[in-house]
Amino acid sequence: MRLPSEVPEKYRGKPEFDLETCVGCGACVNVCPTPGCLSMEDDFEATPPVRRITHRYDACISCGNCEANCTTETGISLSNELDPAVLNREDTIETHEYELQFCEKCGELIGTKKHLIWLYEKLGALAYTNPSLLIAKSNELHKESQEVGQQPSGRDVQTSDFMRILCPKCKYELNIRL
Amino acid sequence: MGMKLIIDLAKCKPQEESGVQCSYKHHPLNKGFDSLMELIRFALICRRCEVAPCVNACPQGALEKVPSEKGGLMDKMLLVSTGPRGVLGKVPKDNFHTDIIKRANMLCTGCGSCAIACPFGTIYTDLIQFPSSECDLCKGRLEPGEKPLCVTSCEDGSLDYQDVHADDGTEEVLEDIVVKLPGSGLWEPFLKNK
Repeated sequence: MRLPSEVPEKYRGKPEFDLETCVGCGACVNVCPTPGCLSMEDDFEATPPVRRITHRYDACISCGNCEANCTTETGISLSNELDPAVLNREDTIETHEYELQFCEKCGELIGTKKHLIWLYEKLGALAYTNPSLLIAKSNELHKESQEVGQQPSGRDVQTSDFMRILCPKCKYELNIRL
Repeated sequence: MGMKLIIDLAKCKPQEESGVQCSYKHHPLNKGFDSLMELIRFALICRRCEVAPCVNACPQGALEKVPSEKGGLMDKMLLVSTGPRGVLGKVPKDNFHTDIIKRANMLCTGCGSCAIACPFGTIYTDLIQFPSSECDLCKGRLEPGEKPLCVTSCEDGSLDYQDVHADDGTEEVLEDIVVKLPGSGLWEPFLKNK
């Protein structure tokens, strides 16, 4: 394609997700000022349940908020592509899926699995204060074999809950009552 | 002495059930009571880790530990113990770091990293919503004898607005905001569905 002029390095063009580093936390959706540009939906019916982050760049105003506030810093960035015109408007919609992590005691949504693993890596030694992060990482490492985590217990708090992936409220209750 | 907002934690229900409304005029969707709960949780429930995972987890640097003001309310306050068996007790502040977590809500993106990272479940995502809220206790907007909208709209009877002295069983957690603590037994006010 012939461009009218050379694109400056910092040109704010079409935003691109980096699916390697994007964890699907939803920060970009929160900070996006344009209605309908970035949106997020948690689909609990799907198997496995996923979070869908939808981006339609025909509504994008190239403000760069998503890039500036990205949790992993590189999850979404504005590329140098300056001519994103398409013949069909539907082609501007892209959707990415992220597997969700639920509390293994009450079934409440915690976040995406990638987010937990990213936190494990970011926190380093501090992650060892939090069994939920360790188990999430361990599940990732041993994907093929049986998952270390357990199914929702649903029963009252018990000592084995310490070795489950827990939502904040269950974590709090466990720490208070046991 | 001025009027104080009294929060009875034992009676507090989730906002959907208690029907608390807010009349903060600058923002129609403001949830003033939620912003108070955040401050109260950080003051009473937070375990004040020396090296805090939540602060380290925040990608925006929105959480920081603020030393409590010397002689201020938080400096005088004793931590409510959330120790074994959850028996309510007070722990001398010398045993704890008195630095309090503070969230810069203009930096926070609502990603929820802190909620996942906190080992004790102090922070949960509903507590730190992305749209920021503020409570100004309706100061300067109330007629004499009038109570704030949150007090009149609250259906669980957990809120009151009176001229009181903080005494046994209550703590003035923030300026003009008094929290009534449950007498004994399990420390339930912040448990699930509360």
